[in-house]
Amino acid sequence: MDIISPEGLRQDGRTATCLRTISCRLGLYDRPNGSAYIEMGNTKVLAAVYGPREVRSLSKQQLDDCVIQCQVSRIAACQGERVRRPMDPRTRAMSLQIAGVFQGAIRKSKYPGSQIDIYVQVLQADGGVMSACINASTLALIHAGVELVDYVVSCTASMYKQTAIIDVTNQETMNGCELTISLLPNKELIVSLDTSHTIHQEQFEPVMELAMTGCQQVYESMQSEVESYLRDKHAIMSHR
Amino acid sequence: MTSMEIWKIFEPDNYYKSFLEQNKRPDGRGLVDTRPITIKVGTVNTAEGSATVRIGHTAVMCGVKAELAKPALRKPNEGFIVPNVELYPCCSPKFKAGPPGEKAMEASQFIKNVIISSKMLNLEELCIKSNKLAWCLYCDVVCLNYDGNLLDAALVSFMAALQNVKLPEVTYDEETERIHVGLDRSIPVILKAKPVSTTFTLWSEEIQLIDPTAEDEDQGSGEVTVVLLEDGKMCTINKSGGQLITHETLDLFVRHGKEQIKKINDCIERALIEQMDAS
Repeated sequence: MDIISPEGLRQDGRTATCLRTISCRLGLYDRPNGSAYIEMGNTKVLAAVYGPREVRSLSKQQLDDCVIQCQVSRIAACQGERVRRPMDPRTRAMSLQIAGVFQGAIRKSKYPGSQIDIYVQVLQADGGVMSACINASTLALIHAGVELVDYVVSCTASMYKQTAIIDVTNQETMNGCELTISLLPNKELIVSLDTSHTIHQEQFEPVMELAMTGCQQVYESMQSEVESYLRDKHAIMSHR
Repeated sequence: MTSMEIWKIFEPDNYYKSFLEQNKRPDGRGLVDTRPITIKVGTVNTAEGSATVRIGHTAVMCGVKAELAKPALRKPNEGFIVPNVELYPCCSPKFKAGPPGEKAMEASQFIKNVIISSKMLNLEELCIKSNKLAWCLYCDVVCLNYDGNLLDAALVSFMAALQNVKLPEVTYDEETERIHVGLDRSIPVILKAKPVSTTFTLWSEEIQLIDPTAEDEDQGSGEVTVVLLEDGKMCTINKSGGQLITHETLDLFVRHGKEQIKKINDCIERALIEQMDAS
């Protein structure tokens, strides 16, 4: 089965440089300080942020620094095969990576001696889970009012034969590499970069470039959602 | 911070009591009013059947995954159904990460009890070939936001997801032992009963609250869950300790439970039809 048809279209009818539909929402729940939900095609992720609050274990507390913790879990029905353990070494590695990303993006000096917890729940996985998790966490942090240096947006890309393809689905990553990049879109700084499987050195550059342009598109849709959320909220507040 | 909020923090018991004295709850409901319920089925495409249920602020999601398994030696003609409830720290700061806590295990056990005592499923229908092949339905319920009344929400989502299940056709060739799985999912799971549960929080001997929020649960002492079948027959009652009650109170609970049956089953029905129309 060809990933790209002779007409230049992919399985789901997109072109090589077309993102899947992104829809996101802020502030679904009142219990956590911040919560967000993002849908990138069939990948659906929910994130909740608790904090900044007091550090749970005193041994971890640093008076001039902020502790950032992340935990990713997958629901049992999120992928083709049933997930037996919601938290396995793979999700733990993802948690560490997300925590690492936000170590760089949160203005930690603003929250000395406190802790910020990010809980991410993968509801459905269809490629680009890591980037959906990062995007959802960013939105949840924004909703929680945590000060960020900039948005953190993430996108994936891959290579099929000689064409670079963006925002890959699960099926498309089966026999290709998956490059996940997260960056600060306004500063154009790369926060994290992660590839799975091998990719030729010469192909790396175009794939990364494509992923970075994808990030900017993701940023636009996230930005517009945040703006419309704030507008709605402001309308309610001024009504009182 | 308003003075009400300060009062709530310093004297939570008094704050709460003053509402109950007026036969009201802090969220504005009366003592026998339930929260609005919304159901959506088919929310996770990767699952064979799924449903998301919101009761007030409580949100739960149930996904049913079907796997092929070998029947147990003791019951060679029966398939399996495995309910499981998970509570992650994502849904409430009360829950810790790690192995399932008491509350999650209690809820899993409750659903298992309901399946057995209502006899809703004929497990033999899940068997494809005696002693060789059978369906195993893993029903995983995840809480997305916890605001009380987990048991009711879990059971409603479980029932809705189970009615949404579509299994592919499977044939088993006895000679070659080859399994052939059909491409389109078309076979529904036949349910013989549709149990509906209603939870009450006991606050004092006279005052009981239907459909408790997390706050009601914290303030009250113990819950009673009454499970009734669609024809009003009693399925199970779950009362794990707490305040003592008389049998008159229990009768009252059953009466309230009966009112819920039609409402909730209609709601599931409507969600299923809505999804059928959409697809």
